[in-house]
Amino acid sequence: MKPPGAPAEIAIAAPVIGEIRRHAEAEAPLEACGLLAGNGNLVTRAFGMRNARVSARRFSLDPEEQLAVMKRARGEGLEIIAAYHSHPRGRARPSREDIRLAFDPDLVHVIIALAPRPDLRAFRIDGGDVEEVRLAVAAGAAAGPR
Amino acid sequence: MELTDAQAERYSRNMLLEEIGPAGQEKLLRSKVLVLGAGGLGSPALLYLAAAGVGTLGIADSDAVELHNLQRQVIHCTADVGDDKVSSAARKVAALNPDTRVLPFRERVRAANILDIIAGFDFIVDGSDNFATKFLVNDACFFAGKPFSHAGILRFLGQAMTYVPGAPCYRCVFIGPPPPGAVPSCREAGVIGAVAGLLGCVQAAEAVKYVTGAGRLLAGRLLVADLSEMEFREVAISRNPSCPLCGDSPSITDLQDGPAEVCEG
Repeated sequence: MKPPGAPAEIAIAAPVIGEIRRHAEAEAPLEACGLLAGNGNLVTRAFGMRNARVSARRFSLDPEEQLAVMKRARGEGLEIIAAYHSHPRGRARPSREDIRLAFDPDLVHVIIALAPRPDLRAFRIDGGDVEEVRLAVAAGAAAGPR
Repeated sequence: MELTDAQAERYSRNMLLEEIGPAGQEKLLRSKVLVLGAGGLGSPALLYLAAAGVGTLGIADSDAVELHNLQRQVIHCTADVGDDKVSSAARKVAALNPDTRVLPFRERVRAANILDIIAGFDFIVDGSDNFATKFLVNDACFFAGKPFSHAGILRFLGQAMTYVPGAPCYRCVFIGPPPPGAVPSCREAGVIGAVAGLLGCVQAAEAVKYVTGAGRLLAGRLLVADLSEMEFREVAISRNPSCPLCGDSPSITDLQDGPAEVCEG
């Protein structure tokens, strides 16, 4: 069993980071959001979801879509490890709103910033406490070069 | 098996290790390790396994040496360009250690031939360069009950894990090949040669550990290396009860060739 609370470090497969970035770029200037799933603390899968707020400043997951994604992930034997969202303009840091609305202290919160400086960081948020989560990038199901 | 004086000298640094000793060296000399792919990962793996005194080394590869391989595939030299990789690698192995016998497989591993190829080997090093083969190797080793070392490399990144029967398999973690376009093509990605070298050495070390019983294998954990930051991490991985291969109700019950990848280097 996983200890309660979000992990202090996670790894994300490189292709998943590409998917998050493409989703964020496609939705900009609106915030993009979704869930990240995998095995243990290794994220191997991104589920891009719709931003129920349709906003450039905030996001929320659609509860029905969230249930559907969790069911799909479970069906593949994956655990939900993190939620992600984008800051099309701004830093890869949780906003006050992000901290207030962090809905699950067991989830890591991944934030991708697009402009002015592209960045991707992860945090655990419990009540008002915010702590950065160490992030490693794994090659993932990657083919080597020939 | 009685070691000759030359063998006692050649392998003295192996045998000084408490975990290996003369008994471990004899195991190495009797062992059969298959290296799939004589490329970036396979080159260092083959050299270190031959140097360690692995008695039988299988080398499987269907490609010829090309100039752009030499940036990382260090078992091949400039004069080998155009020659087939198996012959080129076999020459280096023979020059390095006459104790090592090479079994050549100049063919691409496929669903139809992989079980025959791996059958005689104790341990498999997967140095393949595409995910269709990586999943095929995983599936074949699971069905055959063979241990293998996985490694993947990309740009400055490398990862490795070892499968032994009962441990989490590659599909427990990565399920299946990523959707087309989710991963940069071979041509786009690039890799630092030393990343391939490092991970190939990790694979050789895992093979030596498995054969001799020394140390703790990378089973149930994924080694994650980022040479751009020079960070080495380990991620715990567990068996996935919904794994399509080794889970409770598997959907994969025989070997399949993955979709052919268009990958020109």
